[in-house]
Amino acid sequence: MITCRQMVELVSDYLEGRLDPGARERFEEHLAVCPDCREYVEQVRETVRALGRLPEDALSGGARDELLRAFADWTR
Amino acid sequence: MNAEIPAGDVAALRTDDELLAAARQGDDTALEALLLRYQPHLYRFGLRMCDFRGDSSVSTWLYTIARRFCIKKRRRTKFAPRREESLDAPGNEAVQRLTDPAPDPEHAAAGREVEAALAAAIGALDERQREVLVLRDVLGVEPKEACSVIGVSDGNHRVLLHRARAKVRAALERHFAEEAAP
Repeated sequence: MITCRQMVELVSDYLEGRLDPGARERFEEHLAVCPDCREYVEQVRETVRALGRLPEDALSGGARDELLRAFADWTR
Repeated sequence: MNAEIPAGDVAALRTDDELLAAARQGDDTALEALLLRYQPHLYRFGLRMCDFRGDSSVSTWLYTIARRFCIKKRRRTKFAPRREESLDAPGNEAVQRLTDPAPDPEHAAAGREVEAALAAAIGALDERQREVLVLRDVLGVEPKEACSVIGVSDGNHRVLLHRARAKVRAALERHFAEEAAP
């Protein structure tokens, strides 16, 4: 199984679907047992989503709420 | 008798500055007129200066022109990047334009603060990281095209994107931590 540190390095490739099947499986095995890494992946996913909204509708209140949820536990 | 003049003809009578001012106020017709006015010049310029011979997509070509233009502008003064990307300045109009007016003013204000934090985080990235992040995540450009525009390998682009995203995520983490602090 991969470590948390390796997971952080792979998160972008994971979100882009660029991991080969074996690496993806190991990544998801780690996610299944590591709540901190699940949270981290969700934060990166929401960050990318928020960046994609910047040019047009930017961040409505709802989008901000999604981000806040993703970061809520982390900042406690 | 007042004959009705087509909107395009009216726009043709206005100066660049007048059209730009109107476009900034949200006048789409003015923006279109301005772009149409310079389209032939840009095309000729691109043909001569940017080696556009139809062997790359038009969008790659246009992003490449825009990128070169931005690099040149940034080099004018050593303080230029900060000034030209002043989205992080409090009360900046550009940030205001990014917002989606929400019915709840408090909610909308909080959204603007996040936008400002995102804009500041983008502005603080290394140049290459910023280019990759803006093309990929803000503009939604496909990886292959982004690599062509910036002139980096796919592997290098992945590393730059990963680091840029990690920095922006960390900036948001700090933003929300400060917001949550008593």
